[in-house]
Amino acid sequence: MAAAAAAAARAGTSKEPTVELSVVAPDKKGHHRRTSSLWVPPSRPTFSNPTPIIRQKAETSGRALKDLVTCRCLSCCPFADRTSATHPEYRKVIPNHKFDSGTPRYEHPNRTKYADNRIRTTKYSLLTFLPKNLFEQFHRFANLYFIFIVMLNWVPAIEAFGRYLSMIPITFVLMVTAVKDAFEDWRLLQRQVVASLANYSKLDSEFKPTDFTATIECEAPNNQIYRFNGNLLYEDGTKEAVSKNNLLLRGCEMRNTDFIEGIVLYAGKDTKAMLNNSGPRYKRSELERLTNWDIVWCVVILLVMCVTGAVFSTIWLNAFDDPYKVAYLTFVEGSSSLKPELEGFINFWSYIIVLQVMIPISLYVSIEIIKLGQVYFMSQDMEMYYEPADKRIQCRALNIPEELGQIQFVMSDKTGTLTENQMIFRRCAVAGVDYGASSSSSNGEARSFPGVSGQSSTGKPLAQLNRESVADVAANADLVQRIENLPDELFLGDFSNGATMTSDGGDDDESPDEARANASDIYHFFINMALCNTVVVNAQPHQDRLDESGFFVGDSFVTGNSAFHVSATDPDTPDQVVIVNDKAATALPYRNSLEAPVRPSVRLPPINQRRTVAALTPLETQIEEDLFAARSASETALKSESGETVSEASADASKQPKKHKETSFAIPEIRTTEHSEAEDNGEENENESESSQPAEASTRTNNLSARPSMLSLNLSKLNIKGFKGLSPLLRFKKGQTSERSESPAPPANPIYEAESPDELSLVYAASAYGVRLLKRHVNSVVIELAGGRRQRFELLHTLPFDSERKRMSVIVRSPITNRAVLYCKGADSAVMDTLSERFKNDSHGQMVIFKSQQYLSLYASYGLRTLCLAKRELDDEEYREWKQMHDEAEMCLENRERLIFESAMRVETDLELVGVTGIEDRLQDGVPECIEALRRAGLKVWVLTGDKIETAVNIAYASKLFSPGMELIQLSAKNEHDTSEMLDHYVEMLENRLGSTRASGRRARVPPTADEGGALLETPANAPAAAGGRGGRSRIGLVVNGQTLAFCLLPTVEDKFVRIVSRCTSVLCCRATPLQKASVVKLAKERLKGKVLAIGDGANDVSMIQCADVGVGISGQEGMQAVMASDFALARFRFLQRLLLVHGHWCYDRLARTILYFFYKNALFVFAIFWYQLFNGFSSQTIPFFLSLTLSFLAYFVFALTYNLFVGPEWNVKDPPNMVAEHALIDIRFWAALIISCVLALLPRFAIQVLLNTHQPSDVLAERIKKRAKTATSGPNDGNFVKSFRARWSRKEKTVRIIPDETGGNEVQVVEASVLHL
Amino acid sequence: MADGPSTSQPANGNNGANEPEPVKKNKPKATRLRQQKLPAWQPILTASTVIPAIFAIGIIFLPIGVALYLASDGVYEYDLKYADCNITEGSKTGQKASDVLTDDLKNNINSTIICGLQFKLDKDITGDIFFYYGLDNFYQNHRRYVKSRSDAQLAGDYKSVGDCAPYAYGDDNGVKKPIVPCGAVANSMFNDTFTLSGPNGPVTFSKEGIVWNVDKEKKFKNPSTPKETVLKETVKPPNWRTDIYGLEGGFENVDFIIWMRTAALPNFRKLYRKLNTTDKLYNGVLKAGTYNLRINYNYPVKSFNGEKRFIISTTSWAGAKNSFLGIAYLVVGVFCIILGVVFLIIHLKFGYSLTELSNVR
Repeated sequence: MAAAAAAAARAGTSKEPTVELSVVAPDKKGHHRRTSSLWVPPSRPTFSNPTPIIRQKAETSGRALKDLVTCRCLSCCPFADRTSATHPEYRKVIPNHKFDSGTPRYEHPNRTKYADNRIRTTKYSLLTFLPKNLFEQFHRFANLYFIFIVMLNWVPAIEAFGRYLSMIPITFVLMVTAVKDAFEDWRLLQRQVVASLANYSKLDSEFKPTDFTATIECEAPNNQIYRFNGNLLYEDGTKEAVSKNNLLLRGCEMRNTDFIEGIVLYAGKDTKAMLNNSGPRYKRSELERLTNWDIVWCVVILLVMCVTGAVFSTIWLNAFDDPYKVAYLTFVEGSSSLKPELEGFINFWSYIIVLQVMIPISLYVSIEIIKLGQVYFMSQDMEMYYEPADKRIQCRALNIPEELGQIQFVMSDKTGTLTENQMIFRRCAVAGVDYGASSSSSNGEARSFPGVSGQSSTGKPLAQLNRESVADVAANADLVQRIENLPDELFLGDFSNGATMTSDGGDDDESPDEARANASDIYHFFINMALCNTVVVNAQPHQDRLDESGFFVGDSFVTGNSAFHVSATDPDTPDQVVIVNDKAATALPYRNSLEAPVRPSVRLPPINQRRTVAALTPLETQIEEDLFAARSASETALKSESGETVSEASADASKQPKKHKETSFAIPEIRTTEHSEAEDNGEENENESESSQPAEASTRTNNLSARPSMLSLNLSKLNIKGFKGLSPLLRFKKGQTSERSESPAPPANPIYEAESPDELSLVYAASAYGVRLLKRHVNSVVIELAGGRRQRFELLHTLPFDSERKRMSVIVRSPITNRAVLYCKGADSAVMDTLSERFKNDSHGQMVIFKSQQYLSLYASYGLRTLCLAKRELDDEEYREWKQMHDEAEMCLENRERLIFESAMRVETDLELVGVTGIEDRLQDGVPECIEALRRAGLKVWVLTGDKIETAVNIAYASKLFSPGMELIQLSAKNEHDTSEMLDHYVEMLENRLGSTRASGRRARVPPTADEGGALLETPANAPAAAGGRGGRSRIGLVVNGQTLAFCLLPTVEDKFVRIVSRCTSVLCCRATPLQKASVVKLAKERLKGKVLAIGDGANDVSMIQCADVGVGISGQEGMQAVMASDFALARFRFLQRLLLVHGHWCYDRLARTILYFFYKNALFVFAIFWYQLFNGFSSQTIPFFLSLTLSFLAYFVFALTYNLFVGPEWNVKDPPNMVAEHALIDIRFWAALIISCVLALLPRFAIQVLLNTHQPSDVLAERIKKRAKTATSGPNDGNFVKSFRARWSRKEKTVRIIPDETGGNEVQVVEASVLHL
Repeated sequence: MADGPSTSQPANGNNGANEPEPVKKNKPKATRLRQQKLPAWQPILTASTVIPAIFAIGIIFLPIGVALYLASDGVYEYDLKYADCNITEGSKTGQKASDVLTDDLKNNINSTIICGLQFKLDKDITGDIFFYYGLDNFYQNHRRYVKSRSDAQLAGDYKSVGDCAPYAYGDDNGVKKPIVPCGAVANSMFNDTFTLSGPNGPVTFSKEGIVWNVDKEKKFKNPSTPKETVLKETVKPPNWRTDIYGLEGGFENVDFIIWMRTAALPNFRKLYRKLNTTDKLYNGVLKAGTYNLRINYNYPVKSFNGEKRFIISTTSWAGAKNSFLGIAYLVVGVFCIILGVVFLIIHLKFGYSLTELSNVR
């Protein structure tokens, strides 16, 4: 019953496959079945319940793969995919066992055509290093130039320096670079060693599932992580599609999975992970570009000088009447006669050698080394180290640190970047009735306003924050009571839609109108919250069932987690398909190379280890039996409802699991709390899993200390923390044990794991209100309601979230009505438009919609993230019709995603609004201060968010993006024409304003246009009259929504938009899609000619980050995509202030100075040589004692100092080789010449700088001078000297306190000093 | 408001007290170097801040310049140009030596032209007294000329000719042999000789200490091969009247060594001799009076409009007579003072309005 050439990867959070597997779910009846039920829908990767348990020896994955898989290449293309049409290459994967086992290795198509699993990320080996590295280095123009010069020197007539002497610099440069390369390569090697020997999956080499005969056609290796197309070809000629959801990428982690079955498609360097790993990112900074232009000018100057010298040498030689008689001319009549023109030509080349320093080749090397140093110092900065997460700044791009100092625009994401991305359920409105956080909230701290709570969270350890924020649902006591008192009809089964529930448990002050649908709505509301997600429920933290050598540890894999909660005797679960949340497949594959995986310490008791070996064989059979039983049971079950799609929850493919090092914080806590639970659990498990060995329970109990995932929280803690005595949960718990005495128990204390914090917060919120998600399987969900009543929903479809629809839905079969119900949750804009006409016209519906809208704006004004929950009951007929089309869409090979999207759109109509929720996402600490500082430093901060306008504006005020004194322009229009007119209006207004200079305080009020979506200019009432900053121009903030933004970016309108935007200090884009974010970045880059920094944390920010001049990733909750795409990765947003204003400034300033100094120094040197030509007959002679000159400056101090230190009187070194050291050190003239040459060289620059600074000081300088002038003049006015002195002293102290490190002299200080002044 | 980025260190403690402190392996070390907190001074160069420094430089430089200038001024130097001297001995007495001497060095091998010059010293010259010969307009720094030598040969490897072309090999009765010493530098060696007599009688010259130790001991060595073998296997430079062993000391001849150290500028002087301080006639002092300089006039300079000099000079603590350094210091010092005054004016005139300016902005 093997499904595919199976590779059972040992799964665990720290195990990562080194190959890319296509994961095949087995068909219950066999692999010939081709209906959709064969495949778990492509929304997520599916893993079969591993029928044949594969034991594996640890061995090199490369060898294992060779045995497992055969790849063969065909020559025609079966795909209609447009990409593969242009690249008609694909591979055909055939299981190895289909080949004759006698095929010699070297004839095996796989071995000859495709890569094995050996991966080398290093460039060099010991042997190849020298030639390869030199070859690479010779590719650089600078080095070529150098070598050209050296070669010129070998031509006797041209030779200017000593032949060997001239090789010193290039040798030095090559050596330094080689050492650097070697070091980098060595580091790669270290990483590679860690990655691929220590940590690979264990693949079975002996296992040969001979009954899997299908082959897989798939794309040729490419680097597109989110794309994969292929077909499974059966022997009878039929095919089935496999998509990206069936692909398990190299480097991703699997959770809650003991093993999987799959076939290897790509290995080694063919894996998408490796194809994407193109090494360190290389960006060219503006400074570098400028430098290159300078160098071009240097080349021009060099050529001019060389030509001049050559011409004059010809003239000089021509001036001799009889050159052969001149003693110092080396021409002999006859044998080497003088040809002045030829001599001039030779001199030209000689000049190039002599004046080569004009082109500062060593500058490149110097700059590279300096930048490395800068990056190092950045990463060492304590003030950019985030202690709770133990994260420092990651500099992924090594060559653009100075670009940070030139940033003009900061484009920021909101969620997770400005905010914590720790969602806390705050309020909800069910059927138009608002239920806010009750005053009896557990921690007594009402934190409804992000601005306030953002401050209060400062200083708490992250672990603390995590626990508090997710589970800390302030349950509304009133609502809790209502749920407890839900009418019995809901559970007994004769509940029908629209039925009027009259009793609601004695809430007197409720209007009858509300009461009418209350019970039903509340029921659906919470069911929706609990159902409509992709949350995975575990009884206990997942624990690896395979030991290091690939053997199963202990008992069967039925561990009590829902993913493995398969028992032959469990009537609840007719299926045996293992659900693994799809994080595995969607996770980006690089993690491995970046962070060392967290390795949980699973301490196995000694008894267990001993038993592992002993119980091996019986255990296997035991499991086999179990599974067989389960399978046959499910097969019969399935036959009865054939054609039924086994669907399962899916999730936004772009999101990535949270698994970070923070986890380590949670471990101890969970461990302790769980220990008390463990006994309980173990016993239950023992009962339900029918495992025959009584000792196992204790074993399992002891093993419970395995690593939990970060977002997973034991519900028991919820009780302990906040709801003791208040929540009904405790009561349920008691009830459960008695009730479920004979039926297999779902986990008593489920651990929820979700991809998005929103989902988790909703599920926890539902739990807090007594509606608990107990189990989740591929096709069923069990929910426990108040009083321990449980309902099992058959999960029919999951329509995953996408950013276009902005909503997700599940279709379930209600256990009560036995009808299909669609639960939908999404953004208000996405849900409100899809409400049914009937609902809209219904009086109850109207009320609900109206009130919900009100609450939505109220929540948003609190800065809460809002979601709308809606439902739709489908007729059987309707459902069957839709299902047919949906199945077709799923089976379609081309355009599948589009079709499924359309299919989802079809069913997500005629919804009924159930309620709305408000979830708080706190601002990160230090965000307002950071944004303020950035704004004061003259940077323009734009926030691009997907949130709705009200929420975004509120957060914008809280984060000081908008200040109260700012005028807000809100752009919103329905079409291009309106947008254009509106923009015209504002352009006119703004430009008029600018014309009538500094009419600050005058507020231009523009009447809103008749169109309700028209323009609206808001000026907050408390705006101070003079909102002007420097120059008196009032600050203007712009708010654009996504729809309007799309129009604004149209080529016809763009110009006007740019004109407006260029006058705004802050811009807020709401409802922006990832693509729009990127195009806004492009706009700022191209049209506003600014340096743009983009900062974000999620996958939706990747395009923006890649688009920007500098991309910054926040390594927060949303996984690694943003970090992978970024140039710098920060732990917190507030570090941006330090990064830009301090380090950026430093880097730029220092590098700019270095470059200038280089040119200056070289020009001095070169011109000295050039003028010397006047005295040597333009013979391209260098300055005499050239060697001593250069060497002495280099080695002089070193030699001199050490010489003086170590050479005592007993050393009789009369005449050391270095003449300079001997003579110069004791010669006063040397020192005199040294000093005067330094002064002479520096004086011009010095004088120019003084004049410039005095006449046209920069803004920063002006501020500082002003400040100094103030402190200087204010003292003496007092008359009393002592008093004035004291006054000055105290003022000085004040200044020192405000500017922490005066020594650094960076811009922040100045900015802040100006703050003080204003 | 003005709390900098430094204040936002997250506190840990209080709440997480019960949990064991996780290892913070990424935590940077708080050393002053790593945190870039080493003391530094970044002055902003404006008139007000720079004026004191400028004046200070000026005030320091002026006395140094004066001292250097005075030292150079105190050096006694007698400079005698003699390229146009008249012949005072032999058959061609009265003719101009430069006219009689052929332009080409190699053609005047057998000529003996003697110029006698009389000059008068006004006062006694004391201290170390050096005698130089000088050449004007002689481009001993020409790239090709400088290069045309073989250091290996000079150090004893007589067969090595290095970069000596076109004076690498000579023709000895149809046999090509290496020239010793080879190269243009050696070939054009200055060969005038001087004798000086004064009121107390002939002045005795000393060769002691007029070459650098490193030249004498390392760079110039006679070949270890017997002289006869060397002479047999090589030829002399075309311009020379004698072979290398005809010079006193061979390769280690003082005049040869000095000539081989090429000059940096076309007008140069080279040390010829020192006054012999043990000489009883003069006792290290050149008395005032009339001196006779007898010149063996062998070196032609007409072809490049050259000039020849004989120079008597003393030294000071600041070296030979060279007023350049002193003047340079004086100029820079004066320039700094002037600059200081200009800056002062700028500061007084514009300093106030600057704050106004920044206000307006």
